Amino acid sequence: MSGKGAAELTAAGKNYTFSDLALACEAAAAAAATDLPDILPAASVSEEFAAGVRRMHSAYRRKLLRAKILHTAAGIALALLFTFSAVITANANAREAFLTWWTATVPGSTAYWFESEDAGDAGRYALDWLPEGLNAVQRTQSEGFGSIAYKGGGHILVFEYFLGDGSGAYQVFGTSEGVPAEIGGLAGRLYAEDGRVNLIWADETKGIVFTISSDLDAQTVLRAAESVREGGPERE
Amino acid sequence: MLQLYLSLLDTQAEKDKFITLYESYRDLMFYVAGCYLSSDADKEIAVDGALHALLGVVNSIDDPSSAKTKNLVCLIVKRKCIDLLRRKSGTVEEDWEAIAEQAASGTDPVQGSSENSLTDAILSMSETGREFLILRYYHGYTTAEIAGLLGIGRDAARKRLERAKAELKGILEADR
Repeated sequence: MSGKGAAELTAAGKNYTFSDLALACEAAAAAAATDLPDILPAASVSEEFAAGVRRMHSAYRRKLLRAKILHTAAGIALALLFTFSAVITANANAREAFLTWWTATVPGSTAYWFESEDAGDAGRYALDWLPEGLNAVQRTQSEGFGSIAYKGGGHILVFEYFLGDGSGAYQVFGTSEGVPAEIGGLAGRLYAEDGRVNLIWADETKGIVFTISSDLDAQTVLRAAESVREGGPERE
Repeated sequence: MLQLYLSLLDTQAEKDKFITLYESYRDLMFYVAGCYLSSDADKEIAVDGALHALLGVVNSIDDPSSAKTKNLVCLIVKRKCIDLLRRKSGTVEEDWEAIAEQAASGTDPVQGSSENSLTDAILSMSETGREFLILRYYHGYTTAEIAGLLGIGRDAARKRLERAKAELKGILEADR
C-alpha cells in the first residue's frame, strides 16, 4: 500500500488519497452495519453439511499443502529421502518434453512434483461433462492455479489444474500404487482406494497438471477427465 | 467441525484467532446468508466458502472482535451467496449486481447520509462497487488478495476495482 499520499482518484477537480478513500470507506462500512440486528438466531449445522465439509476438506488440505510444501524438486527429494526413505522415480518420457515430473512414494502417500522450463499461464479449464446432479459450488482461480468443486446427489468431485513450474507438489494419500491411465492421449495415473478416486495427468506441451478427486467411480471420473476443455466454465 | 478448519492452520495464534472468528460470527454468517439464500443447504455452502476464505486472511485480521472484522465477514459471506446464486442461475459476472438486488430486495442496508461528500458518494454506489472499494481501501487488501478472498481471477478483481473507481468518479462529478 505504498504511495498513500498520492492521488488514488481524481474527480470533480479534487484529488483523493488512499487515506481519504480509507476513511470514507470506513464510514460507509459503518453505515452498512447499522441494519444488522443485535440479537441473531442461533445457527445450526446439518449432519450433511458437516459431512460435506469433511469431504471438501481433503481438497483444501492438498491445496494448502501444495503451497507450503518444499519449493524445489531437489529439496522435496532430499527431504523425503532423509525423512521417509522414499522411493523416487522420474518420468523418463517426460524428460524430453517441456514438463518433467517426479514421484516419491512414502508410507501412506505418493507425492508428485513438476518442473517446466517454459511454464506460462495456467489459463482456465472446466469439465464439459459431469454426471447428472453435480453442479459447481466453489471455484478458485489464481495465478497458476485453478480449482472447481462440484457437488450434488451425495457426491463430490474436485477438479484442479496448476502450472508445473516447480513451485508446488501434489500428494495422493493412501497405500494404492495406482494404475496407468490415458486421458485424451495424455499420460496419467489413477488411484482408487476406500471409495475415493484420485486421477492425475499432465499436458506436457502446456506444462499444466490436472487432477480430479472424487467419491464417484473410476470410469465416471475418467469420462469427466476426457471432457476437460480450455475456457470459461459452462456447467456452473 | 471447527477442528477441520483449524487443522488447515499452522500456528496456535492463527488457530486462536480463527476460533474467535468462528464463535463470534457463525450466527451472523448464517443470518447474512439467509438474506440471500432460502435453502439451508445453500446457506451452509456459502458459509463454508466464507470460512475457507477467512482461513486465507486470518493473519491479516488484527482484532477479530472489531467492527472492521465484522464488516469483512459480512462482506465475504454476501459475496459467496451472490457467487452461488450466479452459478445456479448460469449468469455471468456482470449480472452479479442484478442478482444481488433481486435476492436481497428490500434489504439493502445502506441508508441515510453523512457529512462527508465522499462517503455519501460511496454510499450511493452499487453494492458490488462499494464492497470492492471497502475491501481495497478500508481493509487494505491488494487486488490479488481480494481475488483470493472472493475466489475470482486477479484480472477480474482488478477490473471490478477499476470499474468501482470509475463509478465513484462519475457520482462525484455528477454531484459537483
